[in-house]
Amino acid sequence: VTKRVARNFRLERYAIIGFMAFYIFNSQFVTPRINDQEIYPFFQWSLHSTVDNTHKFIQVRLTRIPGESSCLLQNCAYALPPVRSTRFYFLVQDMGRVQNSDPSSFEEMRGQLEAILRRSTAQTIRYELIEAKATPREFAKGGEISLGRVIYQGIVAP
Amino acid sequence: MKLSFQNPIRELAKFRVDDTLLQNLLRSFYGVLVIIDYWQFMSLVKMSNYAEAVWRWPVAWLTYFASNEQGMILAVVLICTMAFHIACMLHPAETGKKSVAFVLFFMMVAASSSFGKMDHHLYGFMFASFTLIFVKPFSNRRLEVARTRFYFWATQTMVLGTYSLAGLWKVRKLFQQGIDGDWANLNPVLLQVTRISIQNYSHNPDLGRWIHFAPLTMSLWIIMVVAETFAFFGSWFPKQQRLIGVAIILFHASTAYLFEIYYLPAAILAALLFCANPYVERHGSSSKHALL
Repeated sequence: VTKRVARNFRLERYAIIGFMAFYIFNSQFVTPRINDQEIYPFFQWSLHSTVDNTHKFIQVRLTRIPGESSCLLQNCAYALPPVRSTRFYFLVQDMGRVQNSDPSSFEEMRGQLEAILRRSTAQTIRYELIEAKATPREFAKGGEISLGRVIYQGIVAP
Repeated sequence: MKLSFQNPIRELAKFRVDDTLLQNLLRSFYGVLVIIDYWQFMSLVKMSNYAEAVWRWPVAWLTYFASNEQGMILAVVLICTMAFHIACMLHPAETGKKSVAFVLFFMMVAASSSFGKMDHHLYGFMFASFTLIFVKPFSNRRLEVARTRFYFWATQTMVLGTYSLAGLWKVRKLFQQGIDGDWANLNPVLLQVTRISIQNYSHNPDLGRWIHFAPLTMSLWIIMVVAETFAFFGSWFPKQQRLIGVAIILFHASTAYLFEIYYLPAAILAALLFCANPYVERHGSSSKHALL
């Protein structure tokens, strides 16, 4: 009996160590997939391996209608307390995300955005949602943000 | 600090295990799993609101039921899992109960991996609940003792192995990106600070101050990636077990703080398997023989 148990134990050891080696090989080189989905419990284990050097986001440009003086929200948010919230920031990012895919929720979010803008200023202003990029080094120097395409613009009147 | 790099099983044999501690470890492990089962179910309910489930093979039998019944059936599976985990907590030496608990837990993790992406948060617990089936405290036969010791080592190695796999990917991608001329991977903290500064509409000086710490954050990051990559060999060093446990907990705390990536179950598992490793405890004066 002892011999049999000892032999089984030796086999178990080989099986466990073999499984470990197999698992490592699978996760690093060929993760088995069906329909582009990994087969449970295999997993690629590539967790946050790549870091992009640029942060892409949606920036808001506000323009006062009489006088046409404009500013980026990044630079003038301190003057508009209701706007200076992470909730507003994520609302704008969500609008950028769903603009093409989900028009109904985009409209709903636009309503929320305009309500917040109306609360923060008593003037007629034009707002533009712009695709923007920032790299750490340039942003650290002088808060530089490179602006891209305008994805939406609207006007808020008191 | 004397590092020994020999056969880990033989190394562990030098330490006589206190079976009461081993039993308590198993009790704590299954006790934590009861809470995790509850979290698991809450996240399942949340995920089912967002996406349609494509059930993975261990729970593929759910497709035989109507989609409005599947949630109820999963709830029953969950209650069974919890019941078996409680049973294992009460009788941590019984292989049968632990095996059934593993199968049920395996299905629960598969269920939460069925919404498009793998739910790897609980993989450590899943592997551990398999290998800990064969960990039996209070066995008299010499072979059983050796077997228990091996499976405890295997549990640790499997859990640490997942860190090594993530670390290896980080090293690979670092060089892949570097060859293309982008070394941003060397200091992801800066991008994170940029992101948070923009999100908070804060002024540049905030970030300017952080830039001075760039060499510090970069070296910490590199140390972290190297430690993560070589984590696999952690179970080869019995005397440094608590140090490894604390390092893993700090690693998860820092990723939670800096990147808002939360792996609480993994930190709990590290506390159980490494900080409370029964193989390196001695009666009365534990701190005398082990680092930390």
